[in-house]
Amino acid sequence: MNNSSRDLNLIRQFVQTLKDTDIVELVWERPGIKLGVKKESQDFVIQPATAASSSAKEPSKPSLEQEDVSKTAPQDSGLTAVKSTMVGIFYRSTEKDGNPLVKERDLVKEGQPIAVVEAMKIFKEVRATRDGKIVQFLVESGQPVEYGQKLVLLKT
Amino acid sequence: MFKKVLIANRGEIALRVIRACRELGISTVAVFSEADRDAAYLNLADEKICIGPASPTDSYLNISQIISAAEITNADAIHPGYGFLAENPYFAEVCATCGITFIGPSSKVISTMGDKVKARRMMMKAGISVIPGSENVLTNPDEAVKIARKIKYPVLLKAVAGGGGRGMRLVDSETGLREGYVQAQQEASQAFGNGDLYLERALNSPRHIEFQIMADSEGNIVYLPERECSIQRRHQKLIEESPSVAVDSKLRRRMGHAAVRAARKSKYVTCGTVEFLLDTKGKFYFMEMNTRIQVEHPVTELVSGIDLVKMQILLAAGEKLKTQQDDVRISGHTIECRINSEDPNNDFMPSTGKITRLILPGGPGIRVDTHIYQGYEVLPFYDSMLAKLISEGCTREEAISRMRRALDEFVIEGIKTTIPFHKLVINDEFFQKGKIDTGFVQKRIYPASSTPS
Repeated sequence: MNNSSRDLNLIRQFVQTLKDTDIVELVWERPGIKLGVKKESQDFVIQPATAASSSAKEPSKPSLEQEDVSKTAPQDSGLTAVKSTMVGIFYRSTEKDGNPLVKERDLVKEGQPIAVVEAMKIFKEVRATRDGKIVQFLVESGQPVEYGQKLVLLKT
Repeated sequence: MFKKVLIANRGEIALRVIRACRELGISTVAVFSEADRDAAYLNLADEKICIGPASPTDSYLNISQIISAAEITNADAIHPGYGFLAENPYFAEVCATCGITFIGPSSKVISTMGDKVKARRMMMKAGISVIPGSENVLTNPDEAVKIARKIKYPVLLKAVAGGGGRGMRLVDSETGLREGYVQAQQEASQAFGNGDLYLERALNSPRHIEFQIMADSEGNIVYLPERECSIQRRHQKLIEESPSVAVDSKLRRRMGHAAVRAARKSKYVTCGTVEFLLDTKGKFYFMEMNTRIQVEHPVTELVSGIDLVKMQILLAAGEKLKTQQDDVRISGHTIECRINSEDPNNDFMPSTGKITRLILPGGPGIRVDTHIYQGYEVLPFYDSMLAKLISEGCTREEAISRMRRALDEFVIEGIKTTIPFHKLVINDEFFQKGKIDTGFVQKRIYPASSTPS
């Protein structure tokens, strides 16, 4: 009884401390106790699969799909979309089958390369437009993108 | 035959090409700038791709974006329309390098015809009269003065890389020539990045007569009935018609054969236009060759019954020309008025804004080629042409009366248009009698506000 109420208190304090952070997942283990914490901002909802797969088949669709995403991700949530400055093929890494430059949840600095767009064998880096955390990639590696298409959501 | 064509243009001509492709069963890719995102014609294309911001240099003139768009959509050909990249030899070359068919002649032909001095020289070799003038690029004003004395004033200073009347000066004295030389040079280098000039004698009251040609890769070439484009303002065509009242069947044959010779000499393939000036004595001179589909192509389509855009695509795909010269007929008479978003009562100032009300004319013998609709926003970034109003009739009189009726039916509110100007021309006694030349607008419509050209 005593132990468990103390544990409960500890957990409460723990959650309170985490309240104002961005932590998405944390696992804390001690003998006899394992605490897992996941925290996800609930103010935006994203459906990545539909946006990515339908636009791959039909280049006329992506703009519409992304409008939907931006609507569910209001400006005041601190989300910014990094857009493509050229028409081409979007890649997450600079080499074929290489490691992605960044992953979702990575923290990035303004100007940091986060992906590339290739056109006519020329690779152009997509750079983070501000400091922040990669929330989500809106297009899959190898997918064609148009000018101004939203590629990555950043949270600041 | 092509499976998918990308249209590297916007507005009316993009729609025209989409229509031709749909009739041919070819898929289409429309490209657009951010400013054109909501244009309705884009929905008629099978795919659409944003290629850049509103500024043409960043979008419709951006070669790498357009080629990338063709690559990611697997388009096997690009139709350049008119304007933008249509007569850019470098673009045609890039297309060829990337294995994409450029729907037009070869890069080499575009380059030769784009250099007006080279083109003149080539035509002289082909035995076609050119307007007396300088044989080479002018090196300085003194040389221009010397040549002008020989060919006699008035003379026309023109830009070697010219088009659309820019870098052009009509001068009637040595002082005027020296002044005009500097101005024209500046204007040309600004407009075309090339300030080279040449000189031509200015003809007295010439008519602008041009011939559409179609050529296949096996050297079969056919000319179609002429277009008269004498109704111009500051060298910009405003009304075109076919056939011309000044051309009889004998002259048509002579000019048509000259056009075919010009195409053969330059090894031209697909559709093109050879422009001539016709003087009051019936003598004609080569002016230039346009290596693209022209704005005024519908007048020829209606009198000849040939769909020129479809023909252009077929010829670019390597199809053989099936039409023989003897098959070409002239049926009736056709007139086209270019409806621009300009205010004819205010020196043709461009007018932009939302079209609040639109009623298109129709009925017998009327065709309207346009991309606009009620609610369409006329943007300041692009060409001012809103619509091409085309009338046809059994006779010129009938074509004129139908045009008059259609201009009355045409309602465009929210912006200023050139409809009132066209009404003035159509109702002009001299126009109705066919007494027109390239000075008509200045002499008959706006005699008071005669502007230096």
